[in-house]
Order: sequence, then structure tokens, then C-alpha cells
Amino acid sequence: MFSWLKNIVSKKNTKSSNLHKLTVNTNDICISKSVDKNINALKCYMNNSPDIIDRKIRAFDSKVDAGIVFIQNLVDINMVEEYIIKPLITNPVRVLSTQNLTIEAIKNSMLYGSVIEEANTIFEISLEILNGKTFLCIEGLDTGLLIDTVSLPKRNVEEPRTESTVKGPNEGFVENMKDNLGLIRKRFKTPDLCIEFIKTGKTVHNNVAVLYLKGKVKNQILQEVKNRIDSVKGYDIVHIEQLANLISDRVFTIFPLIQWTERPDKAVSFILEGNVGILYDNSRGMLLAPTTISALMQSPDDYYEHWLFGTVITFIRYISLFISTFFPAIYIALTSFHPEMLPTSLLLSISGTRIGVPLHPFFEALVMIIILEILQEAGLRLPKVVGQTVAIVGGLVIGQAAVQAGIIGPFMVIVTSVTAISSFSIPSYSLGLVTRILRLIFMLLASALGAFGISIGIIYLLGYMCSLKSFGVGFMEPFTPYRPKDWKDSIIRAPQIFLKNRLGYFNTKSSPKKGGS
Amino acid sequence: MKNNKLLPIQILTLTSSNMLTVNLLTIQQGLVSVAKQDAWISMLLGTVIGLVGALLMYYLSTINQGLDLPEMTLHIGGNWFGRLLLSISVVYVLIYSGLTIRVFVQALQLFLIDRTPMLVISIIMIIVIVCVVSKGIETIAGVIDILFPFLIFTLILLIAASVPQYQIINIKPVLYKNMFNTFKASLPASGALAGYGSIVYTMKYVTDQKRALKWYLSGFFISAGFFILLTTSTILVFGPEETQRFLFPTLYLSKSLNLGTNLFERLEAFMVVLWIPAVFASAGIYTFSSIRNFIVFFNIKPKYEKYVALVHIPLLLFVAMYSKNQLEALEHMKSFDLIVVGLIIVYIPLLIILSLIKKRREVKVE
Repeated sequence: MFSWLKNIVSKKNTKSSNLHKLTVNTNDICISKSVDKNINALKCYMNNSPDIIDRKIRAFDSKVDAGIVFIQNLVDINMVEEYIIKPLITNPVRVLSTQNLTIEAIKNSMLYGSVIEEANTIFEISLEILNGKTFLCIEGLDTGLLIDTVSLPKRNVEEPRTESTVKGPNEGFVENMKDNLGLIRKRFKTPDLCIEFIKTGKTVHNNVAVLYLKGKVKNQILQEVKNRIDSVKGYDIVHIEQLANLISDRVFTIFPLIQWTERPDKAVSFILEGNVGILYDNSRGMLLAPTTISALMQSPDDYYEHWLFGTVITFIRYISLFISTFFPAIYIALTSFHPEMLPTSLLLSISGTRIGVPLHPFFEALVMIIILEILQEAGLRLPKVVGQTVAIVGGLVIGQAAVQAGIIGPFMVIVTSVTAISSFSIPSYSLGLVTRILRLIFMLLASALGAFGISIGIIYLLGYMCSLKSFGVGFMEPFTPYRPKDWKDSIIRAPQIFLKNRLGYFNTKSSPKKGGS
Repeated sequence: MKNNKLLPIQILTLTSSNMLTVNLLTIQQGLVSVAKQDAWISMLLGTVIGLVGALLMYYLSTINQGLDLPEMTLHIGGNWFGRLLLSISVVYVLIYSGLTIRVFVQALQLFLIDRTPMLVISIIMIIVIVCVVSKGIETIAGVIDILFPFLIFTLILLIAASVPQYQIINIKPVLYKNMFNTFKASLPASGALAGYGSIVYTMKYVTDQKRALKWYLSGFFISAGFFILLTTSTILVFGPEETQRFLFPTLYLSKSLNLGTNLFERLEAFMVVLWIPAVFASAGIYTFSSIRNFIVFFNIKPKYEKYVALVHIPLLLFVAMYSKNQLEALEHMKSFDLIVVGLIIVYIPLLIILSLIKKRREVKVE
């Protein structure tokens, strides 16, 4: 069969002889004027998959043969029937012979499809068929038409799972790019919103959509984003998180250098500030680049409440971040190295409850943290109803039993519980995961060197975080370098009237920001 | 070293942090031993001398824009004479950096981790400092930016909490038959503030150098203010005789505080913990300066610059461990505080004069 395809190519080559020399590359194989051969070639190219449907019809008052090819599960059958087959068969055509039948005439005055494209290579056609389009070829014409009849299996727009808010909208991104783009477009009634598509993957051929606001986005950032996406075109990416890992500034860092969100309102706010949004085919959520630690610590609720509440909640969140990372380590350091730093009454109380506990505070904390991690993992996998039961059994029953059995001191249960609760108040799930890793490292440092170990660890951690860049923007902006003007929309949440200027690191020549975030 | 950039405002934190070094923990003892109850006036005079030095340093960096101290020394003095001049800076900065670490490690051992060997603490501190410093000036400045407010808050808290214990009698009589000693003590006082000299290493990286002066002076006055206030507070609380007996008067000041609650039973231990980042800031900038000195002095290619940072680990460790005991280390520190005054009086004006001569010659040639 392949040799037959080669023959087609060679024949076509001889006809359009000196125009160009085709190499034997399947991407360049063109369709023929024969409907049968085109259908066979396409089916052969697509390995005769049973879900590929072809249909031959006698079109234009039974004067001309036509053929359509589509994939059963990717198209809306009604659209195929109503917009393609029906007009072709029933249209009172003024076609007297195949000689004056042109592809433009069919495209412009006979088909009802809203998006119709011309195509003439097998590769291109098969790719679009796989995207859900229907291919139409007419006997005697060596150009085919691709009609948009896409109807991919998808779920409805639902509430975001990981970024729920109290007062904010309950729409979340879904796995369908068209729907996701719609969710953004309906909030952005401006022609300045630019969307660019980049195809990626050698096998999966998925689309990446790059979204930005013209005039607001910093050109260096936009170009950097596009360059990085271009550089990973060869990878077969299945999910947007894989893309995030590939285009991230550092491969081995545990810190999220690109923000993932499943909230369209949040995405719109960030794009308004000058961020670049990235959507990927069949992926829930949008990537926002660049990102900073202050952006990761923001929640949409900060902007849906009174500014003072937003400020206080933001402050509480930073405290939670600190507790989530350092609390077990501080407990270990105080109990193992510096008990004299505690007030006597508290020291006696802790010592009293630890009598009979066989484990060193570090191992005590380690056991509890591991149990906590197991519970968290189990909670994610189990159905909601069972998950609650596991939480009760794990949190209350096991904890109580461990204390009564003398394996764990009650203070450690308090420390672990407070740590766990604090970690849940971090808005970014990825940043929450980072604190889980850091917690263990600081526990080790505290058990080896006490408070000195924690301090030294903090210095190294800060040094590391300050050296991180996200698409040319410092990860620790606006904490360092000091940009006091930016603090009103990061460390605190100032009233909306003060949020007129964009963040310093996004500054372009045209400046003022219309909306909040 | 990466080609990093600094905002003018970062000069404030860099200068101020570099001035708030371990000297802030120890300086009162040295000053009080000379100027007695008038040590605070010595500190005030030292600030005036320091201000002159700071302005000279700033002027030196503005007339040699785009160059740091080692580069400008070679640029002005040429290959041989320049290297000879630079060798002074190379030795001074390296030793001062090592001594800073040593003195603080002593404080750590005394107040926080008495069982951990000094060698282990020194090695860990030096490795972390070198690791962070090797990431470039932007990273160092970033860490300092974040830690600086906490340090300032701690110092304000310490001074404010010590106010109820002030005894005015401790600083009386003011300047009574003590004028000469007060002036004499102003020299080490100005030496203790010498951290402002970091400007000649950091100015090169500032994006808008014209705006840096106000931040530089702000940083200078913030730190000098704390030196004056802490010296005064220590004398007011302990009196000159008692202060003279303390190796780390600032930490003893925190130890003496009664916050009206038993939450902080050992406030000095908390202070030492909070001081670790401060010492990191100072030692970090000195180490960065030392690395820059080495790179320029030995004309090291950019691809080998990271090894210069690594070489500093054994070098700093050697300097830190060289002093046999605490007193010797503190004596060395005091000596270097006096040496730096000499350097500021001789070295910097010499460089300024040579720079101006060179510039005039260049203008004439053109």
C-alpha cells in the first residue's frame, strides 16, 4: 500500500514536474483526484482503525462522486448529516459538468459548516480528522475540504476542586480548550486579548494556546514563554503539568516557577496584570507565567472581601506557611537542644507528658508526619464519604490511641495537627507540597544542630529562593528587591482604588491597570 | 559571579547589614574600657568620623563608575603598584571575614550550642555562607532584604525593653576629665562602623547610581544610630565597670531584660538565634568582597570563578580557627577595627587622588 502511495506521489511529481522535488516523506503525500483512492489512502495512513468512518455519496444531482471521512467519536453526527451530506445531495446545483466544479464554489456556496478549510496532504488531513473535523473530497478535484464538526467528549464546567472560594464564581477550567478559551473570553471583552496557538508533540499533536493582553504584557516575558514552548515541541506532552515542568526555569527545583490555576477569574486577573496564560489541549487548568511567591500566596477571596479582611487573611496565610514548614522543627530543637529557652512551667508540662515516650522527639515527629502524609494521600484517593471516615479514624482514633499507648506525646499530636491545618491554608497546592518536603529537611537540621541548624537552613533556603527566577522575574518579588509600591497588592491587600498601577516587575511603556487582583 | 543588578534601595540594606556585624555585640566593652561612662559620646564621634569615611568611599566609587574596589585599584595603580595596593585589601577583607565568623561562633557556643565543637559550627557556617555568596550579589542582597526588617525589629525591641532599667547615674559625669579618652575611643568606634565600605564593592551593580547616595546614607545612619543607642543602653543599664567585664555586652543586655512575662526565660538565646542571619549578612558581604578581590588580584577567568568561592572555605576556616581562644579573637578583631581606620584615612584618599590624577591625564591626552 505504501508503494502505491509512493506511486501517487511520483505521478503527481511528474505532472507538476519541475515545480518541486518531493522527498519520500509521508508528510508531503498529496491527495489524488480519485475519491476511492483518497479514502483508501487516508484509512491506510490511519492504520484502518475501525472508528474511522467513510461514506461515498452521489452529490450534485448524482452527477459527481464525493466522499467523506471522519472519526465516529469525535464528530457530531447531526452536523455531518445536516451541514455536509444533506447540502451535497439536495442542493440544486448549477453544475453542468465536473469541469466547472471548483473547490471554492463548494466551499463558499454549498456547505453550511462555519469553519471550512482546504487541505491537500494526507498528513494534514489525517491530523485534522483526528481533531474531529470531517474530510470531504470530490471526484476530479485534488484539493479536499475539512469541515469543523468537532464534538469531543467532555464534561461540563464545574466548580474548581482545589481553589474553592466563599464568594467568588464557581466556574472552573475543564479539559476542553474551547470551553476554557470561552471562559476567558467572556470575562475579557477586549480585542487586545491575543491568543496564539502552537502545535506540540511528535505523536499527540496537541495545541498550546498562549494568551496575553496586548500592551500589558512585557515583551521579554512573552517572547521567553513562546521560545520555551517552541523548544519543547518535540515532546509528547499529555498534560499541562508536564508542559509546566518542561518550560520551567529550573528542572530540579521543588518550587513552582509557573503558577497553575483552575479558576478563570484568577487567570483573568493575572493576565490583566501582564502575566502570560498557557492553556493545553485536554488539560484542566491554566499556567500563568511568571510567578512569584506572593502570587502563589494570594487567593481570589482576598479580592472578594473587604480589603482589611484580605490583608489580615494574607498575613495569616504567611504565618501558616511558616508554621507548616518550621513548627515540628522548632519543637524538636526546643525539646532536644534548648529546653532552657522554654518557660519553666511549659517545660515541665512537656517533660511530664513525654515521660515513658520511647522515641526521640525527631522520630516521634517523623512517625506523626509520615502518618499525616499517608492520611492525606488516602484522603485524595478515597471517595468523599469514605475519606471523611478515614480522617476521623486517622486523626482522632489513631492519634488518641498512640498517645494512650505511650508511643507519642500529646504535645507532638498538637504540633502535627497545627502543622497539618496550617498547610491546608496555603492557596497553592504545589507550594503546599514544597512545605511538606521542607518540613522534613528542617526536622533533620533541628535534630542535628538545634536552633542553629534551623537558622542556617533558613539562610540557605532564602538564598536559594532569592536565586530562583521565573521567566526573568525574581521568585521573591516584591519582597526583594524592595518595591514598596508593589506591597499594597502582595504583602497586604490595599483598597481597590489604590491598585491602579501594575506590579513593578511587569512594567511596560503603557501602564495603568484597569482591574484589580 | 553572575552579572547581577541591584536597585538603589538595596544599598540601604546591604550597607546597614554590613555595619551591623558582630561588632554590635562586642564594641561596648572596648569603648567602655577606654572612655568609661562617655563611651556613647565616643560612638557619636566615631559616627562623625565614619560619615567622612563613608562619603570618601562613595566618592571613590562615583569617580570610578562601573568598577569595584579591586578593579579600580588595578585600573588606577596599574599592574604592579595596583596589585601591591590591592594585596592590602585582599588580606584585610579575608581576615576580617574569618574573624567575624569566629567571634560569632564563640557567641553561639556561649549562649546557644555549648556542646557542639567550634570547628563543626564554623565549617557549617562557612559552607552555607560560601554557597549563598557564590550565587551572586543579587542573591546576597535578596537574603539581606528579607532578613533586615527582622533584625531591625529585634534591635528596636531590645532597646525599648531595656529603657525601664536605665539608671541615669551610670553615664554621669559627662566628659568630666575624660575628654582625651573619649576622643581616643572614637577611633575604634569609627572602625566598628567600617562596614559602610561595602559600597566600593556593591556600587558597581547598582542600576541607578545617582539615587544610591540617599539610600547609602540612610543605611549608614540607621546602623550608626543602633550602635549609639545600644552603647548608651548598655552603659545606662550596667554602668561602665560592669560593661567592661562582658565579652558580649549586647547579649548580656538581653539577658538582663525582664519583659514582665516568663515566656522568654532566656532572651539572650533567642537574640543569638536572631543574630545568626545578621552575622550571615555581614560575613556574606565580606566573603563576596574577598572573592572579588581574589578574582581580580589573580586575574581569574569567569569560568573558574566558582572555584574561588570554594577556595574560600578552607581559607575562612583557617582564619576563623587561628585564634587560640576567645580573648585572642576579640583582640584581633579590635586590632582590625583600628587597622581599617588607618586604611580609610590613607588607602581611600590615596586611591581618590590617584583616580583624579589619572582622569586629568586622560582629559589632557584627549
